[in-house]
Amino acid sequence: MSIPVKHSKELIVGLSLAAAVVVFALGIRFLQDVPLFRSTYVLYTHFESAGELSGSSSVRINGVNVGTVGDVRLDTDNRVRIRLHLNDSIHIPEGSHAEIGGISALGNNYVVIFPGPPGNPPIADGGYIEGVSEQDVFEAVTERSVRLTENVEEALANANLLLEDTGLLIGETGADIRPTLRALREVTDALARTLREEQESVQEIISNVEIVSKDLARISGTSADTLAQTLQRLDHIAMYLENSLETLEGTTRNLDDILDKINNGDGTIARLLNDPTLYINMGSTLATLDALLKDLQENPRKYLRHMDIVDVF
Amino acid sequence: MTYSLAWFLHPFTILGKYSLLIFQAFVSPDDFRTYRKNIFDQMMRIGVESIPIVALAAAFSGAVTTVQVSYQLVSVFLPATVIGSVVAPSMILELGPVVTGFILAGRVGARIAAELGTMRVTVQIVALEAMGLNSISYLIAPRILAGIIMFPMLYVAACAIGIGGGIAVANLGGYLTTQEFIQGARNFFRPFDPYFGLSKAFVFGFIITSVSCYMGYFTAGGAEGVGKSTTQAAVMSCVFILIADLVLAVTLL
Repeated sequence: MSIPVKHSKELIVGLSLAAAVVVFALGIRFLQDVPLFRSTYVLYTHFESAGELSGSSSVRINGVNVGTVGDVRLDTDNRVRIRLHLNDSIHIPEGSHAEIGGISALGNNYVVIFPGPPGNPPIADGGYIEGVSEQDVFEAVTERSVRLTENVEEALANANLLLEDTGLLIGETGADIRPTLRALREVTDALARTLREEQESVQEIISNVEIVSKDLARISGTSADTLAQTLQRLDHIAMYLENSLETLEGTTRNLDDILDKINNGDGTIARLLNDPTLYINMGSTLATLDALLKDLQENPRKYLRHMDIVDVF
Repeated sequence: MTYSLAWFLHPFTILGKYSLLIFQAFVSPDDFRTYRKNIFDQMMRIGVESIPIVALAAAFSGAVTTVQVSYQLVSVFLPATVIGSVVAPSMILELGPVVTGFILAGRVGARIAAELGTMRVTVQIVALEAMGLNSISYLIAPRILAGIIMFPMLYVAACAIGIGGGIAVANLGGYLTTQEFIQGARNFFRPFDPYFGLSKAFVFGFIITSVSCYMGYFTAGGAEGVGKSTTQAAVMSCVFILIADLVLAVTLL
């Protein structure tokens, strides 16, 4: 198909202009992150402050871009009314809310939607989603930094006072410190002199120590086997002792048990120890026996007479 | 004293002459149909035929801006997307209209001044008048109309191609991916920006064509005068573009 020559210029100019209009319109939609040809899911929300939000700021759910801010304007009640254009594949359930996220200092603010329970019915197109205003990070940081600065200033003032006091202290006691330092220097000098004078002796001592350590090394080298054997024996003994200790512990435990029983009054010995009646009985028995023996000593015939064995003699 | 007063008043004389010329061009008793064909001719010459050079300049501007921003903004605290956030608005707000404006000041401004200047020195303008045509409407109105209509079209092309050039270099040079670039461009995009750029383009189109028409129409002094008018048309267009750029930025942003 050939373009009629008569209209070719008009056609080319017309096509160029039309292309420019299309590119311009689609370019804006593209940079706004709005679907180029599809319609959008529109929601409205209110915030106390727009916080640097502007048309084309992004709208995110869990960090994923799902649309853009279409329009930011002041409502009749001085609250900020924001229109959100979301991808129409997204459905926001009832009970969701929106917040402003990002760092306003960098102007990179966006709207964050926190979806409500997934079972809830979706908010209708053109519906309202609750906007929750939160203090943004930068404001919070600024507020805290003011407090921090105040604290730092206070600390610096205190440090200044302290330094002044220290200065005064040094100034006052300067006279005392100086002789001390002089004396210290004299002591150090004396020490250095002594060390110089006694250098030979010190060297001698060091060489002696060296000889001793060498001897020790030799001895330990030659008697290494004996030492090893001794150590082995000691090891055996230690093991034996350990076993004995275990046995002893067992015995002690048994004894403990027995003593516990005795204390609690279980068993014969316990009763023997704890029951006073036995003692009383024994006392009376012994007294009776004593009387009997006395009687036997005094009148042996009285008892021996009845014994047949005596009769044998 | 008289000389300095004349020197002081001279710019106002020129401004008055210029304004009257433009006024006469559009308040014409002639029928639009008389120069309808002329408009489309000028649209072709000013607009469509300028697309290649504008595209080339825009693509390189976008590419160079991307490389230089990548070089300047290397920091662990800045995400790579920042490059897109700088390059795209730069193209839309400043580089697109101004680079296109400078190129057209040379290409279109010089051409208009040379055409009209030659017509003036070869007495063709007088001949047109003799034929009963309003030479101002016939010669100037179509050029200015073509300028203010086609220049925004060239601006749109420059922005699209400039951002495309930036994305291409970002990819080829390994500075950032297309997705990161677009993400960055979207992060700080304000829908007002393209309209602001479009208004700049409209104003620059008017400045280039009207200043060049003025310089060409009032050419005097033969071939040498034509050369002088041509140079002045290009230079003065650039100067007024810069002034208008600042004025628009101060008033509209």
